[in-house]
Amino acid sequence: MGSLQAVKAVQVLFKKMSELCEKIGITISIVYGVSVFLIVFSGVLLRTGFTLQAHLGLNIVRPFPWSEELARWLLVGLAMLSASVGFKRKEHIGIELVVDLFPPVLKRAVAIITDITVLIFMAICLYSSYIVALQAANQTGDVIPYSMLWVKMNIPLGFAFMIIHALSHMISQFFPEESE
Amino acid sequence: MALVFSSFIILMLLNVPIAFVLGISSLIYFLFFGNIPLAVIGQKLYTGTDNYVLLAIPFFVLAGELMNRTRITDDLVSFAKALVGRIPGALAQVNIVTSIFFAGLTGAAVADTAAIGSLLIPAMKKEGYSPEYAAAVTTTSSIIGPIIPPSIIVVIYATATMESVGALFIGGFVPGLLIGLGLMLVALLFALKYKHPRRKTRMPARELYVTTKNSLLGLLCPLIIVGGILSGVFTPTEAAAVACAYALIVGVFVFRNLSLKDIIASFGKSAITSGVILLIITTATLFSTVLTIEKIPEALAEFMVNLTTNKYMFLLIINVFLLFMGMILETGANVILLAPILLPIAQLYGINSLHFALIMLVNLNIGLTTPPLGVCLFTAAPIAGVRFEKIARAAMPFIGIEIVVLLMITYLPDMVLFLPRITGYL
Amino acid sequence: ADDSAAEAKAAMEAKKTEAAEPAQEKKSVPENLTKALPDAKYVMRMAYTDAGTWPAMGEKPQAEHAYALLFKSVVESMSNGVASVELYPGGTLAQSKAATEMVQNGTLEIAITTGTIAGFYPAMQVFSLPYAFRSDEVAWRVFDESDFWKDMVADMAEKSNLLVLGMGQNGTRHFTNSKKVIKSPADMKGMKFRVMPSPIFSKMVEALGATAMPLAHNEIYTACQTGVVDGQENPVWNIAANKWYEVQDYMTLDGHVWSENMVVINNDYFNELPADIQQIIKVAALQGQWADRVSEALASKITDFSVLNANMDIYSPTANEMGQFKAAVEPVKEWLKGEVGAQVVDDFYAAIAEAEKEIGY
Ligand code: NA
Ligand code: NA
Repeated sequence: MGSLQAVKAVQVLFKKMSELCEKIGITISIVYGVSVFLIVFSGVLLRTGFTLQAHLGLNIVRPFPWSEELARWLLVGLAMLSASVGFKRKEHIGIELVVDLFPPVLKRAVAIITDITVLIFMAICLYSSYIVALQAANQTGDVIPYSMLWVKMNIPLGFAFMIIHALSHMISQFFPEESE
Repeated sequence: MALVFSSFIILMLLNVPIAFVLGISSLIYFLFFGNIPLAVIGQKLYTGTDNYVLLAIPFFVLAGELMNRTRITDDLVSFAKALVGRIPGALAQVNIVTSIFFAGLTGAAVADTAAIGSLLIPAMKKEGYSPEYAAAVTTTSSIIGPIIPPSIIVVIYATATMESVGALFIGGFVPGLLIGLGLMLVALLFALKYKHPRRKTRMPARELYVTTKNSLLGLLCPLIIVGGILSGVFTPTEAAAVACAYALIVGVFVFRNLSLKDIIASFGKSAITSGVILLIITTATLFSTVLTIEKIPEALAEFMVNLTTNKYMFLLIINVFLLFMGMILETGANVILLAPILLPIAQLYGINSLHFALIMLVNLNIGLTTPPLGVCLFTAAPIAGVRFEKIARAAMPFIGIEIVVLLMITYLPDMVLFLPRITGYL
Repeated sequence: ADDSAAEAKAAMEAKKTEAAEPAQEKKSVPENLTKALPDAKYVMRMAYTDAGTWPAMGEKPQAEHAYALLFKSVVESMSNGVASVELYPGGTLAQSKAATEMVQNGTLEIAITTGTIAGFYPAMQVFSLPYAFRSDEVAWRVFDESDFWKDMVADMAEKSNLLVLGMGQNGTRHFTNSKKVIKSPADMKGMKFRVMPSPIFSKMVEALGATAMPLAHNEIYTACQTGVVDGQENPVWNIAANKWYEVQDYMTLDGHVWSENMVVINNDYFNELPADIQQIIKVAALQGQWADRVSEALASKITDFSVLNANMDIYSPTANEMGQFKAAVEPVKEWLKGEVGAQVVDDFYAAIAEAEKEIGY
């Protein structure tokens, strides 16, 4: 009885963590998305303004030199964090046609094996991208004189979220909730 | 390499998402074969999306999302009804024509299937069309979305090769319209055979005026994008952001039905959709590294040249090969893996690079509506309430005409290249 | 980073143009030209962005590939196969900036890089100071002979773990545009030039009276074509390889920046090698360096130059006009002094003056 309760507690914990990661992931993604939109669109406006002012002999507006690089940085973060939300919401799809032909037991066994394989892959990605991020600490952008550490940290963060979602999903598969 | 390829196929058949299939297969190579450190993975995960041009992806999704929430889709449907409502099989025709219009707002076929499908599949069912027929018309016409600009897959193609986004956008109009006309023809034949309903009365002038006026705002979007690019006001990437700004202005100030909540939700939706695509692009970059190190492209080129030296034969083989690949692999992954390999081979046969790009894009998009990995089928199935196999069967005649159009594009290059030519892109 | 992307695209374009030639004689690159020897005790991996398709395709190797082939051949033959080099051309393993990073942290042994070093060792930006080198041979003299450069190499090896093995050339950069013949900075006023995302290039273009538009490399063609920008700047071979001459009508041979193909090895790795292997690597690096320089010069001065000459209006500024260009960019020098210190900038110009004197200018 006690061990069952422990399992339940772990299950609830992971579910909560997964939900929190989803919320953080989508919030940051939206912030990145809005920023990137403002940067790129203001770039167009500033350049148009620049061209127009030249006809009037003015020199007030000037395009930002850093907008290209900052937009790229935000895209990297947006890609990884929103991919993790997509993972939670099962937006990454595969070919179901073949496994649908399997008997239920085999289908479940296959799902467990492939889930573990994907989990290992994500763990290696997490490790590798974390190391790469740490190594980029004393490296700056081409234009923006700012450490690349936090830019590259978006990638392991995205994988960490995905791993939590995957674990939460797997635990709930092993021990389906009976009554809640 | 055999282990890499077999794990690739097995994982794919076992319902592992494509992004992870590509990543895990590459990982197996790095771990067991290449003299390659794992840090390469961390590096490539960064460099895979550290690309300015790819910014267009979230923007093109966002523009479609925003437009959708302003209910511009309803206006486009009304306008299409006014135009083709009296042709037999009216709603099927409306479905196709709306897709052509909607293509100017969306960069992805799935968005088209979801938006137009949820409006027109129920309506078609109510008028007595079978659900699988309604869904088949929806999915097969939704591939016009990524062929007519804006288009996500065009942006990915342009990053994978040297082709200019502008040229590809201009080049997409004719193939997109041809597919639309082909589908309309098939729908007409079905309508005549099965006596599908049509509108018998004229639309009141007042109603016609209002729907036309409202839909103009949506129809203007592709013109702003292409016009802005052609006149040098903005780059193709920036055009995607301008399209979003346009959708925001139209939604907030003209239709006045786009709330802050809608806007935030649209940003979220576009982020997730692009996240899924960008993860595939990233891991596909990883896998193409493996292919290049193992000199697979050279081997394939050699194989091809030994197989045939005839240009027309080559084009046929490539089309069959791509149709097959389009069925089993996601479109973006296909482009990243295959475009850099196949383009130089095509040029060995004297095929124009823009022509080849258009063949490849039209061809791969057909795979969106076929099993086992037709995302549009999966999207349409729950909307129509039928199994996707049934839709796939009903879609066969439509896919047939799409392949006919594909062959026309393949063997009559002037038909698709004249537009890029007169706009100075060729 | 931009230049590496530029090279990758150019490499792909070169592949494409070469591929457009008749298919009949197609053969693949021999395995032994890129793969390591099976029994070698020391295996070094070398990554670069230029295409590795020569000799299967093309009349001559691209510069970095020429470097790599010579380097590999010399290392393997002089060490009797004890040391071997595995080549990763075309950016397959990593693009310039990522490759430099990997060399720095030891996951890759050697990389050939362009335009990326400022993020790792800011003082190296002095080489991008406009109009510093009046010609290739002055640059060669500084990099091959000067104490200034030797000290900088030693300092960078110590501070960033990147040891410079050799200095090939990516080429001398010139301005192109679609508006008019540029004879002096006055003609550039009000024009928009695409620059790579790097502050020193923006400063230079602005000092010349034009506006700098940092744009991604893969937007250059369309941006020039549609008029988002009026012009851009790059070495001759790169302009030819990317076909920018199709959308640019005028070129001014002002040669504002001599850009590098810098070869770096992980310093710790190098120091742990036996002394005889180290010596062999140094010799091989010298051979590669010359192959690289000659290969670039043949393309930019002869073969690719003739392509541009047939498609663009090319202008060579007079001595007086060159003086105006040089005078206009003085603020860039002052700006860089603020960034990396006045000492290094002054020492750099002193080294150039000495090199020019030795050559006989
Ligand atoms: Na579209
Ligand atoms: Na449709």
